[in-house]
Amino acid sequence: MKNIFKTFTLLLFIIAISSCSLDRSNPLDPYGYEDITVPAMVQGILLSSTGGVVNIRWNRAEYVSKYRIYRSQSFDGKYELIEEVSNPSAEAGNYVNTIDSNVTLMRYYYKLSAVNVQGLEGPRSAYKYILVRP
Amino acid sequence: MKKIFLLFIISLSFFKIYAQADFDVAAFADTLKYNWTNTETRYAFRENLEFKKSLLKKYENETLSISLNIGKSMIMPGWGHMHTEDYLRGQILLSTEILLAGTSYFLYDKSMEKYDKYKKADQIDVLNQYYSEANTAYKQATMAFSLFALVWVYNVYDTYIVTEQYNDHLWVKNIQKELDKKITVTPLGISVKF
Repeated sequence: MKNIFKTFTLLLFIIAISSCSLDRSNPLDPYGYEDITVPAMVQGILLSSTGGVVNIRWNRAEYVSKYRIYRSQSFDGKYELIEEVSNPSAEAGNYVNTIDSNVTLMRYYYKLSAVNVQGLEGPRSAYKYILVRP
Repeated sequence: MKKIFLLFIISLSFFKIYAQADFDVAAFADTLKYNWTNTETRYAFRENLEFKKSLLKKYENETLSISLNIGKSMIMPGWGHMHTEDYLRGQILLSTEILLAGTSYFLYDKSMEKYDKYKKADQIDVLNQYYSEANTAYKQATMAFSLFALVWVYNVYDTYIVTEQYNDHLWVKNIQKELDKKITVTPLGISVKF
């Protein structure tokens, strides 16, 4: 009787622990759907400032529908989405440019990410900062 | 045919008479074989018999039904143990089950909250983070529920053992209780122990 009880206990535990896992049901999840490709991290970010605005430039990537630009006033603060930039065609060049004019004369931190055609946003880049100059 | 039937009946009645002739009335009526040498020993025997009858009746009334007790423990863990006067074990089992059920529910709820956020996420890091958190909480909830089920099974099994032990000890316990009584009423009179 004791052996049956022990075997039953062990079986119940093994079944419970091995079988429990949630489905990866998000249609944007690359682990659940093979046709989803995660956009690569945005490369070559370059910040410059003249005339009280911030010029942002980065490398253009393939299979990307748009880029998202996040900004914060401290490197570990909350990064807010300030702009979405559509991916230009290959004929437009290897770089993408935009201007952030909604700034004052202080230091700003930026992070960028790419979004694929299905709508999945890739990993955000490491932060880059700039001191806005008049 | 009728003759054969009549003969059969008559022969059967002879057997019956023959069988009754063997009954020893004298031996049956002999009180000495019960060691009743006088009235007092007969009263003592009757007293002893009455005592055993009352004990048996009490035992039958107080004996716990194993299946009923198991049923109670299935509905509320520890209930069967409390019926066998094993209050501590009953309370421990009940509180353990409440704790495990509560933990399991709390973790499952947390897991579903994170899972909903995962389903809405569209950024890879956020998506992975919520999935990881949801899955961890879900596994913990499953473990808590498995433990709940294990304790429940143990509770049912232990109720069976404990109820059997309780019924086994009940006879001895009742005898001891009767013997410990200070005042007893017998056919011979009232006896008081000091």
